[in-house]
Amino acid sequence: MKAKEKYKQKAEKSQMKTKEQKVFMKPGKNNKEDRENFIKYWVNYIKTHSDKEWSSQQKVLIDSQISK
Amino acid sequence: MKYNKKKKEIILDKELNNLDKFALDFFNIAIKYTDCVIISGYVSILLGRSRATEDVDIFIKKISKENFYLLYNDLISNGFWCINSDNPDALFDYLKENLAIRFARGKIPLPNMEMKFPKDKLDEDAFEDSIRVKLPNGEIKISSIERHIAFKKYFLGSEKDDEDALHIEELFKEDIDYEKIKKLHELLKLRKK
Repeated sequence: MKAKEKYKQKAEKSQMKTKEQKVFMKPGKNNKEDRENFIKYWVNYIKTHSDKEWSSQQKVLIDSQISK
Repeated sequence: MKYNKKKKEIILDKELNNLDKFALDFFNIAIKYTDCVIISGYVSILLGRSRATEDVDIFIKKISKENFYLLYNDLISNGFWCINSDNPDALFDYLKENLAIRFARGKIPLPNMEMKFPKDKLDEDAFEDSIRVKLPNGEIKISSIERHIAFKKYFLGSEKDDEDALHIEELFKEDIDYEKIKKLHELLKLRKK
């Protein structure tokens, strides 16, 4: 019984985690709208994550183009 | 990211990328000699925009030739070089003619800092109408959110500029003074004429 309860809790926790991680972006009707939607999507990511988290991803993008 | 509108301050605990380090190093040298403010695309990038750039625009307050020599020598001794000339007299003349000069670091000219004097009152106002961005390793001064949006949307206006403005608008939508943007828009219309 205990193990079953533990498993249930683990599953719920994992579902919550999945819900937190998956935020979907609406595709734009054209390239302009799609790019704008992505900007909004990325800003939402910035707002919902710590500075360290989003900036480490920005760092990968920028450092791949700009060397020290 | 915490924006304190009253204090005109953003606290940004970001992991600095190579472009941030480059801009911060340059800013820390330049600010010893004159007031400086970073404007345009890098403002959006510093605040999270997912793109890189080849240049970082910086206004420096008009300074004497002697002071410019000191600034130039400090930049050179810290590994920067000017891609327009190695003659500080010529560089100072460029600045006086309202032309921008570019400083890079290392062997390649990318990225570079595009340094210029303000050319009119609207540019000069950027020094006061600014925000201090406190980073883990230092501080950078950028133009205000409203000024940044107004210039990007109503003066520069390319697709990239519109996107840079959108990024900042989305990020700070609860704090933006839209009346101020409107006033700046009017001033920019006059400048375009």
